[in-house]
Amino acid sequence: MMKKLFKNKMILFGVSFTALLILLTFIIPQVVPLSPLQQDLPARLSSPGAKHIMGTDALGRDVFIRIIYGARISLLVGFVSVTIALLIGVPLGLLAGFHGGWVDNLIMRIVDIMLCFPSIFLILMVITFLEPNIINVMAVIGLTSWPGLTRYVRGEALSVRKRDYISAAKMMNIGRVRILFIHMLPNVIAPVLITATLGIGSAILTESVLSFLGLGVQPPSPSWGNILTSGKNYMGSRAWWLILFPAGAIFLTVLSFNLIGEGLRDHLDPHKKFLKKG
Amino acid sequence: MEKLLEIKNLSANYFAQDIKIPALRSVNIDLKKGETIAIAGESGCGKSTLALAVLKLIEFPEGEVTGDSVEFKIEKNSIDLLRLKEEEMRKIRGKDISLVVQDPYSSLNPVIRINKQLAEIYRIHHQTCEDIDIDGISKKYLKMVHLPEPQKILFSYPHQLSGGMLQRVNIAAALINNPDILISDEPTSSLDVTVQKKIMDMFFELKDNFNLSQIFISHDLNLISAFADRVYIMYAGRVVEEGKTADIFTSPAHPYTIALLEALPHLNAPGLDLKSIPGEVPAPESIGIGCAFAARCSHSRDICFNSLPELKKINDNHFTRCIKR
Amino acid sequence: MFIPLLIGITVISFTVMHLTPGSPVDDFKMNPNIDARARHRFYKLYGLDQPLYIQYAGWFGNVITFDFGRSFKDGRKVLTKILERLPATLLLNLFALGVIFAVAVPAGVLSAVKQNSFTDRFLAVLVFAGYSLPAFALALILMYVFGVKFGWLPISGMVSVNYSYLSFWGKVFDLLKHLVLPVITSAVGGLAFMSRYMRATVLEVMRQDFIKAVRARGVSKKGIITVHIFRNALIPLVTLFGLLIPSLIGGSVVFETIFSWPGMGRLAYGAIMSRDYPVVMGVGVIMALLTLIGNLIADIGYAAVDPRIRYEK
Repeated sequence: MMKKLFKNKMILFGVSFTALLILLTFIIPQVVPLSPLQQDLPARLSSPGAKHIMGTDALGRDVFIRIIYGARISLLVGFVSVTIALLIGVPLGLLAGFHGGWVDNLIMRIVDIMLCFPSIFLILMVITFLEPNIINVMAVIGLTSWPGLTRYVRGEALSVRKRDYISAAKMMNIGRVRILFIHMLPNVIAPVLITATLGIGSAILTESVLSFLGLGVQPPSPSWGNILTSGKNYMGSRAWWLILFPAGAIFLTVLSFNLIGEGLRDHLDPHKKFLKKG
Repeated sequence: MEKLLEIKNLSANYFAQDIKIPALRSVNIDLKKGETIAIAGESGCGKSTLALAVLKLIEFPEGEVTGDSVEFKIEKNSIDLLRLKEEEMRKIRGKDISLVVQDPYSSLNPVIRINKQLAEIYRIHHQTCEDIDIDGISKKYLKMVHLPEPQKILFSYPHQLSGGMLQRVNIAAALINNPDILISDEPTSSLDVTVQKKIMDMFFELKDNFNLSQIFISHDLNLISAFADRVYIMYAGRVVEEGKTADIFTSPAHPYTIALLEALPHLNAPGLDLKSIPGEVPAPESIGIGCAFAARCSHSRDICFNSLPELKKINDNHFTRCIKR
Repeated sequence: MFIPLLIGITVISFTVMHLTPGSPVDDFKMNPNIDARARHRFYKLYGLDQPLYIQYAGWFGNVITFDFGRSFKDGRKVLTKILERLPATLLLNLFALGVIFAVAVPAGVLSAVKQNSFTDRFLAVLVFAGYSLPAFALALILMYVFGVKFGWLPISGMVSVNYSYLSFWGKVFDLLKHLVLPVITSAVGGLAFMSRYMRATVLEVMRQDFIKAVRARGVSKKGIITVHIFRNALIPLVTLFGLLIPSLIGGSVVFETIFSWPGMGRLAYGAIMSRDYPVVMGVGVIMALLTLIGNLIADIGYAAVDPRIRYEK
């Protein structure tokens, strides 16, 4: 199974890049003595060179080091907020699909409303009134990104529910909760895994937007979003490296998770292939 | 009489994943001017593929059409449809050779009004003259296929019409350019029985009143016996027997034809048990080199499985592909 | 659908905003000139001393009559503030929608018609990249390249300083120049989404049976694509229109802020930053309203392109 998965070039690239990134976040702090806050004032806003391979920011801090430390935050936000979304979205979706009736109606109505409203606006509102810090960012992204999952799981649960073995289980008087988790969960795991992987990418993206707008990770802590903020502020000084490198980091990371997600979909759900073969 | 269409060794394959599925195998068929021939056989024998193959509507990546030639006489010239380029072939489709497909519900574009669809067929095959009253022409043809209120139908969408009405529209669409050949692929099989009768009446009318040559594809032998001049019996992509309708029905030569006829319910002998053919139609990709019917045939011998029987002549018009003869 | 949606959205945002710590008078606490009495007066004036549901009921009652109250910051009417910003937002998003449709539809059709060809694969890669692209970071890159490095395009605002001195066509040109970068960044996400969807739709229509029947009548491939497939592919396209609206409007908060575009999104960002409740709520309602209008247009469009729906009774 694993071997087959890695034959897929999309998954191979995605997993390799993510693994490399995680590895770097552990190795670099051990090997390079620089801290992300350490200022090299004479070398302020220096362009990429031998001493600072990705240049420095306005306070003379090394951009490469800041990006590596920022990666920790991005990955953390990605995984934690998707976990929150999973913990809310999957049970709600199973409940709606399995219980049906007014429970289903209520849950799906809420989902409709949340999907219809621009979620970034909701996130922005909530985060402003909370303290902007990493914990709240993860919570808010998690709390606003479950509706898509719920809708998906509900649909799958509905179709699974109609299949025979669930009614067989019902007839044998197995408890509802047991049916829900033992019998239905395995069937919805594959699509949920795909959606979750894609969700990590979009959570990372949202975190970087929030931090960029000053509503996420607060300076001086490094994050890809707030490096970009300094890039915007020092655009007049032509500090392109403050834009290109964090932008590239976000792009490649999000791309990796999307590649893994779509690659998994090719394997687990061949009907919805990204590049359908005729 | 002059041969209008002469199909020589026509084959067609469909591509699925990495395998070729042969749906039509070296078929020889000819159609004379003013004649109506029927192609008969169970579903999956390649009848519908034949219709598509003649019009070269099977192409990569779906499949391919191969063969020696499909000679078509048009205004004293003879052209080989197999060698025609797509653009020239396109000019023949719907103009010289028309096709009426089986399912009337999926033969018209669901989101375009009937008048626009008929006008399109007329316009693509005529030099465009802006002043021409295309709706008037369309109306004439809708009347010809006995549609009531042609004006109303002209401005309808397909979903507003019944299956029988749609099939009449399809026939009108097939006739609008006065074709030489009309191919109809099970034109009545997806309709209600009462509607079937009316549509068939119309086919009889077309046969009598037009100088049309028809290829009538059907699994309904009763219908064929009343309608066709000659019959081709197909099995697993091959023609196994051909002959004048009377010959086929009175003295069938191929065991498959005999079995088919025995499976036919007779109105004048009700209560008689129907015979069914043992076994099932083989999947096209699993047919060996021999006679495809051998496995279901009570007369089969070893040789039937090992080599393909020659086409044997019974009389000038009657041929069969069986060693028994 | 409209009313429960509106209530749902406003209840959620209202509750979220009032339950979260921090209040508009926080700023006053720092100000030694404002004593407790003044703070209390302020509370009373805006009904902030009432229970939450009373506040909501009062506010909602006013909203129905299009009275969103006054801004905490400058005391101007919220509706006036929003209405003067709305055209800029609409302009930006309509252009973005236009670009999305103008590029994604041909791209989607092309890759479906030339399925699995080099073009198809190339476009698929682009689409994939578009999905993963952080549009706000792309905005910065474009600003840097076209604004700072080469100085070809303006990077902030909607018009130049000398706008009022320009001729009519000069004004149009100036506006268009300011539109280029914000429109591109707003469109990128939707573009990828749309062209992928379009490709799938066209492939689906191509597999329908009637296409073969139409070909059998001698219609050329070009005619089939431009008339028959396109007409049928339009139907799901219209649904997408409804889906694109919320993401475009949500995006405008970010992109208008980046490009200092004087629209509703930037107003919302400013209001969020200064906890100007009435303005935030007002923008929220207008955003919901725009989303719903988008959906309504999609429904009407649906009926326009699909006769099967139009004649259903």
